[in-house]
Amino acid sequence: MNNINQLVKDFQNGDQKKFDEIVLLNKDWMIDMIYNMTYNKQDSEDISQDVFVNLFFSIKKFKGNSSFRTWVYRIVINKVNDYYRKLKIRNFFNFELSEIDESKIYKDNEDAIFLNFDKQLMFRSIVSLKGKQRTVLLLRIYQSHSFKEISKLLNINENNAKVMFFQAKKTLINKLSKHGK
Amino acid sequence: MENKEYLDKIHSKIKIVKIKKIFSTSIPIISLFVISFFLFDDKINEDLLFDNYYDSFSVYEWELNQELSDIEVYDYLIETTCIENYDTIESEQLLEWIEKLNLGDKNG
Repeated sequence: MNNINQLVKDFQNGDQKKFDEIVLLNKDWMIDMIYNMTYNKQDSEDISQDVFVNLFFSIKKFKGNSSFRTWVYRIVINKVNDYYRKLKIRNFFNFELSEIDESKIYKDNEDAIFLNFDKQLMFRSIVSLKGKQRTVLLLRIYQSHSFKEISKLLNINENNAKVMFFQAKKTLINKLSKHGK
Repeated sequence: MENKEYLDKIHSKIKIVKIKKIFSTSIPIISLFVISFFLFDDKINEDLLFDNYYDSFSVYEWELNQELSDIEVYDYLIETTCIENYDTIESEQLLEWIEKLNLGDKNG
């Protein structure tokens, strides 16, 4: 982490070459994280590139109050939200959504219920959730974050995160049940 | 995806964003410039020489006449210029001045 902080500092001071190193150091975990929320390899690579573009222009705003990774995490969440917003419009008009790959999910027994549903249907249902509910759900189920971590990432309190998660889960199960198993 | 290819894609996206930013800042400036140019471009609305022609060409007939007597010129001036009391001017010198102004110096 010290290395990344130094790279960021150098880049902030005008050393443009350090940007590539920052990208290469963070690319893998970022693509992995986005993939776990989008289930599509191509889309996750595209989104990660957009995150780095965003980072290129806004890295001067990074003051070092939180870790660099936490700061980037927020940009990633925003970009994934944008992605879902676009999908929501497609979904609303019943357009085809991008084909999803296999997803590695449901570490928690409590959420194993989702395993019974068709992955494409599950994806459609997640797309149709409300913005913050969807983010909490994705971070909780697919990223295995604690509510405390989620609350920090989204700047909400822990109880709010819990409420949003349970609402999202309830809505999701309702939507999935309507379409049958 | 290869690292190089991945980095290249990011850099090309960065270039596109930079170009977009330049356009988004320059277009309002250019449009502001164009608008202000048209707003502050005062036209001379009352150009007597070119705008206030008489409708009838007959008014200008005297100009086509090669040999005009002084009286004809004075009559024309009285009839068409704003100096209404032209024929009441008594000062010889002033009349001479007016004649020079309107007809040029006959001696050169």
